[in-house]
Amino acid sequence: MWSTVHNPSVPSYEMVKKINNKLQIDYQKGLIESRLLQIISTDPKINILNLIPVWVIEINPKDSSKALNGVKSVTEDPVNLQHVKRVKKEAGKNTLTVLVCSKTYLSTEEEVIQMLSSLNVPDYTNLRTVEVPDHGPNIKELSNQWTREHWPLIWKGNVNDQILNDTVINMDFIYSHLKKISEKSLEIEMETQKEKDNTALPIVTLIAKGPEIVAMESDKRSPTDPLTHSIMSCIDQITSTQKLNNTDTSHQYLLQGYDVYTTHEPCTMCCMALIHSRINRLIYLKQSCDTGSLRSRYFIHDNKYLNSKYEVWEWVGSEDEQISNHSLQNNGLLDILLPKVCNVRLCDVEQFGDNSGDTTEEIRPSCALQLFREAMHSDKGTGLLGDVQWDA
Amino acid sequence: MTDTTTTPISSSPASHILEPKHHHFMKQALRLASHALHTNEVPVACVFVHSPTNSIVSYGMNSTNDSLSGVKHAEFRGIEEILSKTCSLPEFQTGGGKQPIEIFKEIELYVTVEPCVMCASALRQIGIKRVYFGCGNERFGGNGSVLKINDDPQVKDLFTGYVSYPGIYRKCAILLLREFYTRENGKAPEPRQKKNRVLKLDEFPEIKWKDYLTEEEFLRFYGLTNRESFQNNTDIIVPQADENEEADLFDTLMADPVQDISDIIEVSSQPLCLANKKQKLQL
Ligand SMILES: [Zn+2]
Ligand SMILES: [Zn+2]
Repeated sequence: MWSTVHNPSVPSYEMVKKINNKLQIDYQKGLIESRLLQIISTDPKINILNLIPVWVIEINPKDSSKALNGVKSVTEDPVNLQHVKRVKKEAGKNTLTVLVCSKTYLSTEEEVIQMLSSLNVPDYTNLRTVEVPDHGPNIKELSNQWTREHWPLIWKGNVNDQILNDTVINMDFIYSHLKKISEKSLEIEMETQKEKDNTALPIVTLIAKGPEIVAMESDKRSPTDPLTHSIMSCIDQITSTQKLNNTDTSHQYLLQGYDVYTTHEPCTMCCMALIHSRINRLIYLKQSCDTGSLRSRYFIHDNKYLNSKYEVWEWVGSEDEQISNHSLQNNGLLDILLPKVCNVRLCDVEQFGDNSGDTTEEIRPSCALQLFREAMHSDKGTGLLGDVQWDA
Repeated sequence: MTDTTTTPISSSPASHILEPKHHHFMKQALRLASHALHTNEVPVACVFVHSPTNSIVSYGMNSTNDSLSGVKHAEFRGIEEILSKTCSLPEFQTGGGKQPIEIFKEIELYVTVEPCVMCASALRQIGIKRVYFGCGNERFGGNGSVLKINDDPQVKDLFTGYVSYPGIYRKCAILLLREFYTRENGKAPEPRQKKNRVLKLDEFPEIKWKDYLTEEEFLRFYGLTNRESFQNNTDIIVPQADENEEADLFDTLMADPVQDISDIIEVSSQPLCLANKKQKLQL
């Protein structure tokens, strides 16, 4: 249903450095400075041609402005025709073909004739239906092709290119925030490897306004407290501070203008909590295939049916000179960050568990947590745990 | 999905909707929602019911305005209360063998408005048994209106999800919301005319059952007699109910300047009692 693929049908891509934006942007991939990957939901059908019938007439070129004013004054047409040109010049003809309205709007020739006379459209000939694309593609070459083969389209440029151009990125503090959560995450990971009973998950979230950090929390979930994910804790922390300092009850959207930095692609609950809080931007380090609800499924931050949106970027920078001081310098930033965190999927639990006969309902999170910790510390676990992770 | 009934629909004795408890518990949630309305909060509220004992174990009301947070939804307060009560029971303490989160497989939620995407995910992550709600939430409903988080197999976490049944006192839930938005827009509430208070069907949006349930899930719960409602997107018909019942209920809710909810607070402040005997409901 959703896809993040940017213009998949164009094989070559260009790396452009626009004058008004000092950032290096790969418009094809939605990649800024080779480090931040834009996560957006793209209509998978945007570059698929679908034709719909419309009414056209032929007129003498000298009548064109009168005819155009007439047909453009029709505002009740339920079909959006803003992506097509209203006039087509056909080779070998000395007339112009003018698009009147969709066949969805007026289904019979009589209705069209009646409307044209009420609009004072001058003499016309050859009233008939033709097929035109029902939407415009987001690739210029494709737009030209549909124009050649069907009907002239209006090319306004790829809307997302403009969004990328307008994106404000300050790599310095973004990097510094990400480094902070990654180091904390690693610290938690080291502690849990030392202490057997420590089942803390190395998921960390930081909320900032520009360079200024306003909250930083690690994951506190447990079978006693299953919903205390790091994002929820950060929101709670900011709420209680603001409530102390602020008596203005009209300020309902608490995190307007704030950015969220988190180690893992968040779960559905957290993604939606951030919609409710009206954050500006989220950057995460690692995709969560099983439970993530931004890139992995739903695109909650960019869903036209939900009441607001936020920017989402995945950090894909792999090497950095600053991180090389770190004890685990052989790894890339991502590998350092989230070494062997795993997700308790049912199949995994059953594989390790003494609970193999249990139904889904009866699997105890505590037991699952324990099993996954054991798996992490045992040799047989490593292969299995490589590609799975906890939700944040 | 995982409804306990496995007998064929045709041989099910009667529809579950006829069990008076569903309307009883939703009525309590509506009273709380009405209370929230009078304190200038969005009128959305819920009660959590321990199903083996048929008892209300916690409640929640929306408090996003008071808390200055967009995430203080009714469901969260209720969940937190249950967890903290569960932690103090001996069988759930360290060494007792059971984990507090396990309690939720015996807990059902009655909420006046469909849980939002956030709450739908939270309810799934705690493994709630079942959810009943009044009206859908077109703007951010997570049980089918916008996304169907409650049982989407795409998400792979500890629990596979839950079924939710909409439509219980749906009109009342909608009327409370309308009342809130009328007040928020600064308009005086319309005087309600006692004589002409039948809640006309055409004043309410349709309920798209297919967004929330499969036909089989629907028929098992609401009964074969309601098949037409499923197809026509209309409210279910509860044969024994008085046709004015919902209008009367709304009048009662609006009659008190501030709905007294002390009985619900009292009941849910009791420690959990998991004795396996069903309480007889005072309906
Ligand atoms: Zn989460
Ligand atoms: Zn909610």
